[in-house]
Amino acid sequence: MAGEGPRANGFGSDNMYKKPLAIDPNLIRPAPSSASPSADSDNEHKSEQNQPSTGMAQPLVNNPYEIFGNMPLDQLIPLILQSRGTGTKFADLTEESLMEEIIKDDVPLSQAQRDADGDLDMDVSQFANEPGQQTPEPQQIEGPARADEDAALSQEKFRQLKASTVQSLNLAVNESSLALEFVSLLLSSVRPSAANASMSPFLKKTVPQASLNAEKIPFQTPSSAEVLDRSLIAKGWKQRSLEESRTLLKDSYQALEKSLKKEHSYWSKVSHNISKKDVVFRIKDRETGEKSLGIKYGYEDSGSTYTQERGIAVLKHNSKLDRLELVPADRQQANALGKDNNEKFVRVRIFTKIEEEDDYILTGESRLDELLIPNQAAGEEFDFRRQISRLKFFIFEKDLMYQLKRESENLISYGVSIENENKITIEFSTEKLELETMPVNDDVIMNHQQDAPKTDDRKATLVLIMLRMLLVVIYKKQLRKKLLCPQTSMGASVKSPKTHKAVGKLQDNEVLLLRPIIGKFKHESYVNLLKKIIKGFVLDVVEDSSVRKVSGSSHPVTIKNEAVYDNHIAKLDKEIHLFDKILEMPRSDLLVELPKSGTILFVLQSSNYCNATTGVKYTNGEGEILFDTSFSNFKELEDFLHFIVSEYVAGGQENGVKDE
Amino acid sequence: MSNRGLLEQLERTTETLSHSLSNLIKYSSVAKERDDEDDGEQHELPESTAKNSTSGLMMVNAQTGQLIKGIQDLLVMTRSIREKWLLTQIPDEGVDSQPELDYEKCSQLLKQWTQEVVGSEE
Amino acid sequence: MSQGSVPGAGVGVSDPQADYNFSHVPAQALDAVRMRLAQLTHSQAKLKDEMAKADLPQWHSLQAQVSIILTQLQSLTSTIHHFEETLDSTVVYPLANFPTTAHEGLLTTLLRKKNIPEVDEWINDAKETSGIDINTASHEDIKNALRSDEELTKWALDFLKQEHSNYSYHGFHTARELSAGAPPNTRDEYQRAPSSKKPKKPFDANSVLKMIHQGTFN
Repeated sequence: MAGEGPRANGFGSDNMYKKPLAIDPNLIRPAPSSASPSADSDNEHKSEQNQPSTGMAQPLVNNPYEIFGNMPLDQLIPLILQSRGTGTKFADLTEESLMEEIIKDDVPLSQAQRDADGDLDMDVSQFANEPGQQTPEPQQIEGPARADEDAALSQEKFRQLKASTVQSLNLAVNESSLALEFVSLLLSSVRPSAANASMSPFLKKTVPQASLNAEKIPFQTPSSAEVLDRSLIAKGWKQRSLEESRTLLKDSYQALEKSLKKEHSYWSKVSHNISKKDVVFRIKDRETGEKSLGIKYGYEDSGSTYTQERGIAVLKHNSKLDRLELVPADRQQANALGKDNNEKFVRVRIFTKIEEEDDYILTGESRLDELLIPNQAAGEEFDFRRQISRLKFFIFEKDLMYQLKRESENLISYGVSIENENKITIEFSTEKLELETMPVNDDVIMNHQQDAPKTDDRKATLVLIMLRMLLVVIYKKQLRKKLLCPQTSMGASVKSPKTHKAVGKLQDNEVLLLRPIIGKFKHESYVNLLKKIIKGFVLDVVEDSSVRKVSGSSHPVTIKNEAVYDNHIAKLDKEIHLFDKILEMPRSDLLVELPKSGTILFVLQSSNYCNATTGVKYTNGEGEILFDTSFSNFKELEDFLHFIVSEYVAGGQENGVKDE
Repeated sequence: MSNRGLLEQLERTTETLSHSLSNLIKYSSVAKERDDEDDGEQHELPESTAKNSTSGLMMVNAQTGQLIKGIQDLLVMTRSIREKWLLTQIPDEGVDSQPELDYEKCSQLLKQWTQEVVGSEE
Repeated sequence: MSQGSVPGAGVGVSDPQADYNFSHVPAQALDAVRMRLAQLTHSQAKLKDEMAKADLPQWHSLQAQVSIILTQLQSLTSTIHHFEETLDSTVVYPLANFPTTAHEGLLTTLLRKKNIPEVDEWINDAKETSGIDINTASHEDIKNALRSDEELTKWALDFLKQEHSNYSYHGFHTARELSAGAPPNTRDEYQRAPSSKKPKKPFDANSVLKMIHQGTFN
């Protein structure tokens, strides 16, 4: 090998190989830059061939050929030796062995499938199925049927499976159509019509009918060797199939067992936690699309008309914990805004006015419902019921606030103002009431628990409770309305959906939440005011006059003795009538008895709970009704009293109407 | 689905299951079925390879599939039975109804409320 | 010159059909095979088309097609097996009117009996799985192995049959109850739900009208 230049070596001259390797070890020099002219010039020459951008020290493109081409030999040769593994000697490399290697690398390319066009089939999956894999199983047609078992099947795998399936199918179709053509052609000699029906047009064109004939040869029973051979094949084949079958069964057994367990736990929890009284139905979960059970926690069946929340929760099974419940449709929006958005409760605060400062201080706050306080002691059985109770609680509170706001819209002239969408303020003469929806979060709860009890706490709680009860009364009234006239709710919907909705909807004047309570407060203060006026203008002026309260000729609320259709309606009636005293228009009658001059009857009542009209009836000593008027203005009332007293009542002529 | 329908489906499914299993075993036998026992081996043609492969395929796909499907059908059936049970529950009038309100006590409490909150005497 | 006695026959030109004897073509067998083969090919082509679509159809329709194909395949193979003697004893050869010059490849393809390489692979694979090398083991060994296989299968079948008879597949009573002599007919087995009970008597017209107008029927 000594003296052979690189050119003598087939490698150097072959233009296919861009690695200008100087295989001749004699040419290895430690410092090729100061090399002998022949080697150097060769290297330079070849490297010039490879470098399109000449003169640049750093090529822009990372071209491996270039890199190796420019690499000094004493680095390149160890690299080559390294890549071939330890122990190889550079001298062992021969042209032939390298050629062989290159050919071997090219093998997949030559064996690649040819498409219908004769082009190379570029399907990558072909390579993947090469010798490393198993031979295609006979039972391969079920490709797509198995795909749904493995949920984590990546798209790549799926495509591979599909491609192999199509390939097998192609094979099958080809073979069977070939067999069909053959049989038809053979048959065409004896039964041309039948054969023609199943021959392809191509065959019909190219080959005339009856081109094949057959001859009988004596039948040879297969030799025992053949028989054994076939039996062996059969045995092996069937064993394979059995194995496959076994794997299928096992896999599906495991999957089914898992789902069985899930089912079992779900249903045992359902049967455990849901009683006969819950409204359960089939619902299609909008998020996941699967059909499952839902439970209704809204109050629509009890008479609520709140339509902003559906009140339906899906009974979803959480395999790790227990059940999760979701609210349909609303939940998605709520989640986008923040989880606690849906959980709000109403809180009542009472502020008392401080005269000197003209400001209010907080004197009472309603108590937190125990549902809101996170209860760690609750065991698992209570958790579900508690979730339902909480959902019910929150939807009720939302409805309450909604109706309160609705009512307050009409009460602006009576000191009720809606400060923002969560707060209603009611002002009285000495107090201020605040109704607010608070979100359920830890701050609120902690603040509440840390607050010292205040004087009016109980009063605030009672007001809140009464508001809730009044809402329930509204529900019951709605329910009764629906029960008593079902045709308006059912028949009308067919003809005119608008009237149906109008009938079912709650009228403005039916919402009686704040007005009775405000009315009661205001009435109290009016009564006190009246008493003060009476005192100032009558009692202090006229001697021996007294005032007492009389039971007015109020309309006794009689329970109608109608024919009761239904004991449910009767029960509703009874329950509604319990609240009559609360809901009735406030009215007080005060009778002032003047000695010798008759009586003055004051009737203080209200027409809408919040206003006040005072009726004054003056009967003189002879029993004649001299005056019977009503005032809505207390100033006028004062003047009138002054007039009566001074004109008609003996002892009133003295100047001495004391003004307070 | 009515009760009768469910029962019939149950019976059908179990029959199918047992048949599929025995069919599976039959298909896996290597030798051919012999209708009459007294034929000697020489006259019996062993099954061709094609027939073998077909029965192998048949075995795996059809029979195994039937087995699995049978079990799945049973599972679906149990679920529908459970749903049926759950959804046709009607609360008993006598047992589940709410306790009667003590109306006297209620009106008493309401009176008390008025006194406490409003502070008036009625 | 003209032999007009044979109508349609040219001078010296013999009717090709009349010369050949097609009696050995096994018409009946071929026809049966052809029919089933045609069906099979058709379903296979249909399935291939379905698979080649961009969005695959539902898996259960594909599954149904597969099972149809399987049944057809089974009927085909049993037909072939039925006619095996006949078919095995025939030899096919092309006649002169086959356009061999133009389509030689077609002829060899049509008439070939060799398996395609995939099938050969499968067969070899099956041979390997059986675990017995036909070259090394003697015939007796192989026969013994086959026989023990057969016995296993028989045992399995018998076992299944026995188990099957242990269970009662109809009605509500278990087999044990039945064999213990429980009376099967006293209990009404198929009891309908009370809601599906229909009234025996026809409705009274007055009560129907009352229901319509008043909502009650008492």
